[in-house]
Amino acid sequence: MGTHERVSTLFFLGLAVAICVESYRLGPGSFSQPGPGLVPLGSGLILGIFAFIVLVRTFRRKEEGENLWRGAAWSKIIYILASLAAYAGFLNSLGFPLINFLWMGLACWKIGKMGWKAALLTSLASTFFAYLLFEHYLSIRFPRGVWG
Amino acid sequence: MDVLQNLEYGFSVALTGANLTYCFLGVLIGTLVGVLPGLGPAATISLLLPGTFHLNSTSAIIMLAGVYYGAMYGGSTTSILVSIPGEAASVVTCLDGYRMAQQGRGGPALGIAAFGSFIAGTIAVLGLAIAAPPLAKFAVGFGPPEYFSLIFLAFSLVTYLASGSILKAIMMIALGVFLGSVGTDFITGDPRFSYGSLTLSDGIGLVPVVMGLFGIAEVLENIEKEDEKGRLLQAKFKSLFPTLQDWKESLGPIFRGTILGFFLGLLPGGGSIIASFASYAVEKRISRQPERFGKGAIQGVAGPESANNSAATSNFVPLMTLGIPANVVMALVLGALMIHGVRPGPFLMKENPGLFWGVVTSMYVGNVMLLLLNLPLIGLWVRILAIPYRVLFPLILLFCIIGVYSLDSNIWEIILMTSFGIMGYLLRKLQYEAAPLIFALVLSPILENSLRQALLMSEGSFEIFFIRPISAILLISGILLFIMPILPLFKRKKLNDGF
Repeated sequence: MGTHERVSTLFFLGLAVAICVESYRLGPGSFSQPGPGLVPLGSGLILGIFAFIVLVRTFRRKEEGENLWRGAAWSKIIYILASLAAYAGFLNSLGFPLINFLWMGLACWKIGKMGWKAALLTSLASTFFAYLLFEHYLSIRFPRGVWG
Repeated sequence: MDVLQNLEYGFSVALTGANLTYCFLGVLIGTLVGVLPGLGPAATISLLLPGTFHLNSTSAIIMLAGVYYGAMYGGSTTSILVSIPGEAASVVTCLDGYRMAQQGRGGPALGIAAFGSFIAGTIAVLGLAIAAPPLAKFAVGFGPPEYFSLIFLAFSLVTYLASGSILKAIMMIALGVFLGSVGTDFITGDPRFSYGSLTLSDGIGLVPVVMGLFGIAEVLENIEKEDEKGRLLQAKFKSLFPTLQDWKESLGPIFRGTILGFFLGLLPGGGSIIASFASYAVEKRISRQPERFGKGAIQGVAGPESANNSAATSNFVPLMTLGIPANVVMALVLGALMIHGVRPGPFLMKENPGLFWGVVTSMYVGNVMLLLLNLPLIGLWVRILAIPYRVLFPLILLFCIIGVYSLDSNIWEIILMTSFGIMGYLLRKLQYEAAPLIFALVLSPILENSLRQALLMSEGSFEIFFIRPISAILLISGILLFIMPILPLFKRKKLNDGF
């Protein structure tokens, strides 16, 4: 955990610096006339101070700790994230029924390790019920895409 | 009595067909969520939030409240039968509840958990009805300095009670306050941290953040483990009714747990988890046979289960009367209220009595439903637990996507949610808690508004926070709570792992 914690706190430290710089640019104003940058500047300072404290403590600790990513199924995680991005990217052009059918089918088959028949059935059923529940019952309008 | 008249009015709202239906849906979903590990009430409420947009505000909050206290009931079922706590608040129930099940006494354990929760919920609803009006009257005198100090105290309590590192909890609060400032400055109208993005110029919405941090991150964390087979469940039990001796041993813990849970639930940062652990500790401490705890003592089930349900009810008191959520679930309910155009606070009772008293009395109705629902359906809940996660996760993700998209029909909200999903996954790996971040995100606009107004009132002097008595008490309490756990860091001795 030691190296990972150092990297994460360095990231937060960098983020805090960026927040403070941008908040200063926005203009913190004065205490009698507080500006839009005042509270973000305060939050950036607090984030930076405590990130620094945690960073210092990581150097004081002797043990390196376990590898956080050991055993992580990276392919599944990347697949899910990429599929979510693809869902968002193709939702308007393909339309909800088609993109949902494809996405659910692939998620069930590829990650859920279902057989293709079970995956097909699950994606058909979920698309149908989602369409029924959200579009008809809750009146949420989904993009039609290729269905016009 | 005013209280009785208010309750009568509340029941007239809660007992309409529509509200009964939504109450039932809420407790049913809540119980299901409580049974299934991995999907807590916070994630569920965030998934349901978009679905409530088409309901009136009273029905929406009745349903969401049902999810919350329903999850407390559901969590105890699997804690007792298979030692798998469906909810963090039910972890402590595993200690003695599961032992009782192993001794063939699962039925009485389940029964006392259900009855204890019902008794606690009933008393807590009455407590809420009695405590809320005077607290609301007291809160009328709150101005910007008091609100700022109260939120500061809430932040201090949340960090003090954080289960992990307090330093990291403070960082998350700071990050949440920053994220809450993204969008358009409400006084000057200047864009802040939006960089020309239309999506960000409206601010970072609660729904994509919560769905990402809780829903997506939970899925990512669970999916990275190797394929799990469905859990083998061999839970069997006979009668669900406790014996007379069981009642004799449980009544004291039930009432003590109820009172303890009620008061802990009132505090910002307080909630069911703390209440259940505190109750267990108290019962073990005062018991004449403390060695029985952890080996099947019914008091170890009765007390914590009553405490967690009581706290789940009293959590609504600071939310409805002060507009300050006690924990992340209440923060989501606050978000739901604001989305519906309802601002909770001292005037809610006067401006929207139907919503206030309707929600209060619906909790009692919900408790009755839960008692009737849980006992016969225990076998079903246990079967549901056997559903492999690989079947559930696509459905969870689908709900997240649809929920977020339904807000503004904006695909960038899905991207935003996914980004927070990645963030949430990394935060979990690195042992940062997401709850303080959500808490701060919801309260950030109120915090900033209060601070800036207070400084305008005082022409820049911070004395205003200390010369007003309520603000002074709240702020000093917050500062003390903030300093106390950090002081040891500067002492030359071994630091414990909690920091």
